[in-house]
Amino acid sequence: MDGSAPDTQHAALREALDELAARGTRALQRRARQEGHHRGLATGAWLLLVGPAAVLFIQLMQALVGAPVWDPSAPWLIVAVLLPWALGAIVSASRAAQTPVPRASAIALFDGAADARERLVAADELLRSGAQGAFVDAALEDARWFAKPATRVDVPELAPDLSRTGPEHRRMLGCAGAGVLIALVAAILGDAPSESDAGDVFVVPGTQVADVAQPPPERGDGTSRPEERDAPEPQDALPPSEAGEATAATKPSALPDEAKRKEGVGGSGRSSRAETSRGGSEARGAPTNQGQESKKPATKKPLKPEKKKKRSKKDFKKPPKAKQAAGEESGSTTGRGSSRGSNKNPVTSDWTSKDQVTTDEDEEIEDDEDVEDETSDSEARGGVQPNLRDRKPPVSRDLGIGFGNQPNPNANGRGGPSQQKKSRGTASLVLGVPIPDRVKGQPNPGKTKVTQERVEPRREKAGTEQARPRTPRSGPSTVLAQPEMTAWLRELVRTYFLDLRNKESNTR
Amino acid sequence: MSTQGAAEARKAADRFKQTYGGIQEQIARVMVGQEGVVEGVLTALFAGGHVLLEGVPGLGKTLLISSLGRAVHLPFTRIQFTPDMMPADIIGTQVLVEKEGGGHEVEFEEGPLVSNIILADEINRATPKTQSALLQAMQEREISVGKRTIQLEEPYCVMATQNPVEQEGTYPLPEAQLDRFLFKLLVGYPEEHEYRTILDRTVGDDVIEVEAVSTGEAILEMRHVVRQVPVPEHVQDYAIRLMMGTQPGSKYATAMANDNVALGSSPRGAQALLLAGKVQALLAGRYTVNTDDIKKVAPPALRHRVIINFQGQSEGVTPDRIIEDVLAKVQPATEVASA
Repeated sequence: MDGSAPDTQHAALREALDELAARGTRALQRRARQEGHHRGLATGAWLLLVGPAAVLFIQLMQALVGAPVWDPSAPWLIVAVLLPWALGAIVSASRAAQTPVPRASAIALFDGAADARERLVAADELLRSGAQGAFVDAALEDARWFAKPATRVDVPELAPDLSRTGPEHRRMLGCAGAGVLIALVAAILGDAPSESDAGDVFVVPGTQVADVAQPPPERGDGTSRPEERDAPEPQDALPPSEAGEATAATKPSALPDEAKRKEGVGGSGRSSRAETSRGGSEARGAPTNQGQESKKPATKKPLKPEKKKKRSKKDFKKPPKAKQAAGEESGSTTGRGSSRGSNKNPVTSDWTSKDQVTTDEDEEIEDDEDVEDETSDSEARGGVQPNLRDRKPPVSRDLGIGFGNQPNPNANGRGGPSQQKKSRGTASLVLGVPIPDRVKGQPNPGKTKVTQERVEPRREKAGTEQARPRTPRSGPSTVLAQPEMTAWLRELVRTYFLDLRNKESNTR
Repeated sequence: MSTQGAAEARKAADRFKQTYGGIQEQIARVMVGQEGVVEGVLTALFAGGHVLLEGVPGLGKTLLISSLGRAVHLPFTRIQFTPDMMPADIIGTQVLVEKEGGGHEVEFEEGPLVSNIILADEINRATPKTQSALLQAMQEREISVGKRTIQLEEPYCVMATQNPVEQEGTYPLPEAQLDRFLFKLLVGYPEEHEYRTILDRTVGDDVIEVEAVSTGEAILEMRHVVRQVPVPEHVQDYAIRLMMGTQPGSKYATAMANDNVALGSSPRGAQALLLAGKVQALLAGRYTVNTDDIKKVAPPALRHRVIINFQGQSEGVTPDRIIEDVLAKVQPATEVASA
């Protein structure tokens, strides 16, 4: 044999491998295109929302502007839904088809089909690498036997690998549903302007709000809404605008003038709820007694408020429920917010304590103080409630030493014994703290006396043990085998050592 | 010229198969079943590597290796490792001998390590000091005693056994030593139908002799043939990926390997995959290695190179599970087409 024969044989093998590679590449690109198509449909599912969203936007604009811009028909809607999605899938498929296919993969396609066990791929690599040797030649010759039948094998059908697009398919269905919904909304909106056009009335969304915000005309006949019934009387009796003016005239408000003007002007546009909450905000600025305020004339405010009427204990403890409810419902913070000029927190509580004013004398004193306060800031005092920081009873001031070295749990910083008190007189002689008996030895030591005396040792008779037959051993005679660990114990040990390792690794 | 080379390669491959088949046949006369273990031992012998056999007592590990020594007609020594054994006991030592003409001289007395086929029985019973005496012999095929270095004669093959049950009083082989074994083979129990043959052969009066069907030179020639088998690029890539798949933190490491492996395979793992793959290709009648050959030899070639960490040990993860996971997840480059 001459040397040209192997070369021609190698050339023939190379041609056959090239043909296989080309066919395999086409098949793989076809599969890649299919996969890209599926992937594009799945991953580009959000494009299903683009068309309907655009149509919806156009419809909304049309509704706002009033002039018909575009009236989409059903086919147009379908096209708007599907067109971006389909375009996305086409782009994805074309991109996937352009992905380069490895030559080895293309030839391996026929390797499997011809049962060549990678002989063709190996021969192609050996030919391209230019390797030489006896075994290389043998491998090439071997591959030639498989290359010829492989060229006659049809390209095996390759199913696209859709395993990666599983979750994206679910997302695609979700997006499709959302797109259809948006398209339906757009279609409904597209019909809505025609109805409004028929009556020549253009409905502005703000109009409806304004209608709702107007005070109901039936206020005078007692059919007002519950929150309006609970509102303070003077303001309820007036129209919102007048009430606003009255409030502005009678009370110093923390709001700036600009804001006041706006409230006064725009008061008609506000709802009664907004009106009452405005009253509440004023109350936050200057807390007042709701009871007093409710009885004040709405039109005029005296320069100096008359002295607060003395109220009975009953009145003090139990404010009228209706008014309390009015205060809560109207949003007024009277009795809740911090009053100006006072550093105490008024609380709406009927709790009584020793500090609470209960006697007439105390009330007198309080009234005096109130008078002094009112001269400085008469409107700021809401001090009709006991001003306590907490609800703990005052500390007992007796001379008991019952707490020992422990701090008094009732101490609240107001004085009184927080630690052990020094006592005088008889109380100091009384043992108030139980002392544990630390005498060692037997209990009741008073009746037992231990004495030592010298005694000479005496011989005593010990009883002898009789021999008995030995009984068979019941326990194990040899070393105990290692007991099998129960599952929970094994798990416990394992968890312990895992934690230990983790801690050690973390500390490093 | 080229066709002549191909013909020579075919003849060499045929000779290889004949030699392999002859030795396998002789071993099968005394060894019942355990075809996978016999194939692994012969693969390691022809690939030029060492074998670690692990199995409970009484499964014929020692019988297999002694039969192999007789079949290839090579000097065979057996070392029973014990905890009190010293390196000099296996390497050899200098002894004072009397000269013929009078006087004395120091002479080196070779230990059992100086042979061709070594059966290191229960290797994990020796101390690390003695175990490490094997390192140089296994890797460099030479031993150093004092200032003297002795070249070991090829073919040189260490076949060690260890018992997985009796772990008390044993010294686990260090990673450096484990890495020098080409294969770690697990010897399991025989099948039900094989027990009858085992009993017939062992309790009867007949003595089965193993004939020598090959020689050391033939083994060396076959090793040369094995090394000539070309490895395509995609197969080499696949072996590298498999090896890296066992290395935690590497590009191809699986989640299981990252969580449970303390130490992955070294480059010796990839060498073992390719060498053993070449033997498998010749046995399959091919002249190039393919990925199936690599997949087949991956468990015995990698299992002793994968060291499980504490978490893996506590969860019962074995090296074989790691390798199965790597084989399932790491695909060859040509696998895309056949998917």
